[in-house]
Amino acid sequence: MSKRIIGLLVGQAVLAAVLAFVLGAVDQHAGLHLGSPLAVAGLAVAFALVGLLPMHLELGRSACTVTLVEAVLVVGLLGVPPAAIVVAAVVGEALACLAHRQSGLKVVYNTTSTGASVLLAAVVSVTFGRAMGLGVHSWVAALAAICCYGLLSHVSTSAVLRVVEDRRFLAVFRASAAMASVATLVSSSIGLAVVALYGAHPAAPLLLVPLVLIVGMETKRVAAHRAEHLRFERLYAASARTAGLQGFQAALGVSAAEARSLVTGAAAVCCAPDRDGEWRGMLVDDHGLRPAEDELVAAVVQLVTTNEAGELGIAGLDAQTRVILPPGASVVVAGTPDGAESQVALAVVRDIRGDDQGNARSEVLAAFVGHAALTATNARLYEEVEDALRRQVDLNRQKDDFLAAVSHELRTPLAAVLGSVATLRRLSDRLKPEDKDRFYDMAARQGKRLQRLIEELLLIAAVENSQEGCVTAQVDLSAMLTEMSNELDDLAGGRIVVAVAPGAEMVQTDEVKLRQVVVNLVENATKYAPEGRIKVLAWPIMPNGGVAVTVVDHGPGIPDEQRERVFERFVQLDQSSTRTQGGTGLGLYLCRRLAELLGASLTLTETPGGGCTFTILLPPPIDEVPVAPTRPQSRLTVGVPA
Amino acid sequence: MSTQAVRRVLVADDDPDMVTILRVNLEAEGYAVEAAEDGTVAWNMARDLHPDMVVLDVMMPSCDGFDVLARMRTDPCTRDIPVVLLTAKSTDQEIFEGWRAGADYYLTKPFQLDELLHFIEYLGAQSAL
Repeated sequence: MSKRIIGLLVGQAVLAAVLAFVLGAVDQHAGLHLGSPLAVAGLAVAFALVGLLPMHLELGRSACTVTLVEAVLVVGLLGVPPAAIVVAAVVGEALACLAHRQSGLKVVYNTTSTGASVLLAAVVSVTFGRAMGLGVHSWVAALAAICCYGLLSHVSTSAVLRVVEDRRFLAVFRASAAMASVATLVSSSIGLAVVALYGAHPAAPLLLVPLVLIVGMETKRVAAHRAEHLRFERLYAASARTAGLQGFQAALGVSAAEARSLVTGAAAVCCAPDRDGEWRGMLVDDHGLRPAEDELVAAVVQLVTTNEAGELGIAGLDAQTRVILPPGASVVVAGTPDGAESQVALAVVRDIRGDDQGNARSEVLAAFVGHAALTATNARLYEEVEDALRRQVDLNRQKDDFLAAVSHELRTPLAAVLGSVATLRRLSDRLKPEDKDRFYDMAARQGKRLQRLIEELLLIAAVENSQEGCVTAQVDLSAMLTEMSNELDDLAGGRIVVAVAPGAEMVQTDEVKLRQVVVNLVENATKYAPEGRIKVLAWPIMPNGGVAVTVVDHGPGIPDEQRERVFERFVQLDQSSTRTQGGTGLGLYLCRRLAELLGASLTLTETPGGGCTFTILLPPPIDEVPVAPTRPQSRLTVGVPA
Repeated sequence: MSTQAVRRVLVADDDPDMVTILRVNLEAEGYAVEAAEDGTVAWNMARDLHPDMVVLDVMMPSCDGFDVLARMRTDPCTRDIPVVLLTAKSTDQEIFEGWRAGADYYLTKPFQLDELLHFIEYLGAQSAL
């Protein structure tokens, strides 16, 4: 964009040079004669002063800003040599721009534009036969010159607006042509009135000063009022757009986008703490909306907490912050006051250096922060409610699913029991004795399965309601594990190996529940790992003082992606094993729930070389300070069942 | 019935005990029984053997009973074979799904053996007409 503006600038400079040459040619009489230096300086000051006092003119729904530049120009055209007017106008415009703290490019562009337009006016004025003093002829010449000045100046403004606002040149030109003509005519009439009054008496133009001052002040007040009105209109519109029900990130994103457009920034960051109190932010710039990096969020929060709300020059910030912030010339920051219930930090980076509008911008942003905080709070609440609802729906569905699954799991063995009994009754005289035995066995086996299922369901119900809690006591782990392995050894075919490392012999836990978990795990291992040793190992965990108990088998193992599923209810990875192994699909679920009751975790990993390793991590006793081992301990007490 | 060829019934259930119960009772009534232990095998047998009747469980490995039934109803070769769904699935929703899939009868486990045998006989008589 700035490349195209520089192109326009060069075009204008060339035009000015050509006009200066023409002026020198048509006005051989005066040449580049400047006349009295005092008059030049006075005119320059007058140009600067009127440039600083823009008046806002409203006609119907159109509005434009009028300066009295044309008035001064008329006086100059009729009073001093053309070269002197050009110099005075250029100097005056430059001074006014600098006083407005405009950017370098803008100062150069406006000054060149004024120079070219005034040169054109001078050329026209000289061509029409410029005459000092009064007379209709000189008035017409001055008016023609002012019209040319106004036209060229309007063309120049429209050209730059076309680039900045990316609209068609003709549209921009037409939109404000009428108002610009009115402004030019009003202003030049004042100039002519000054000249006329001067003719009557040199001090007479001073009579106009009170009038111009009153009109000037009034229009300035109206302009300020209007600007404020516009700002609040935009603020309300922005607030309305951020008010919908939305998630936290979306809310931050909308607030950032609105803040960016409110103060016409290149990029904006809106940060607020999420439900966990962690600061999060959304960044919006020309590339769109995205979550802000953590360090950017930290930098913005830092900026807001260490600075008063306002517009800061990027150059004044420390090097680290400068690198983290999006590129720009200034940054407008605003934050909720300290101690506010909902915190928000806003930063908008602008391409343009701060000017006299900086205060107005920070006021708007500061007003918007309150609304952004409200939006963020609403979003957090909305997410909380949504989460709670989702959890409730999930819970209900889980309950329904569980009930349906329980119903199915109970009906299947019951059907077999009733079916075998009905068969025995129907066909009692036709069945061979060995067939009868088969059905008796079937009824007994399926009955047992039903019993086991009911017991486990009752246990799960007890664990889930968990009224009783844990009865913790000092448990002799090595004695418990050895006893357990003796009991299960027939089932396992003598494959169980127990090893308890020093430091893990005694644990503080609920013995019944821990035993249930270990027994279940060992039974599982005997079922699903038909060969290889089944190791039950216990060792102390340093430095936290907990104890790990693992049950290791060398069976087929469970694929990585299935490992968490085995802890779900009624999940059996191999469906046929329900029948062959008599499993209920509740064992591992129950184990995990029991482990949770003990404050322990139960995880499944792969045994090196294949198989399953279940690990129960028992927490350290609450009131015991962990003691570091005095020396490496490698001796194990190994108990192999007889 | 005695004048006709022996009727063949395909029993599909992944519980071997249930297969045994059904086989013994159906054979006692003079039917020839084929058994399948999962859905895919059941579908293949229904298509290849073209039994006179199918007793189908729903929860089976590889392919459930509803799927087998749906496939049978779209294949011209198996479309007209009467199917009894015999399953532990017993919610209204599941029963509705079973009828909609094209079952001729829906029995929930646990079930009355007599009811099943009567109905199989009735279906056999219907299809013989």
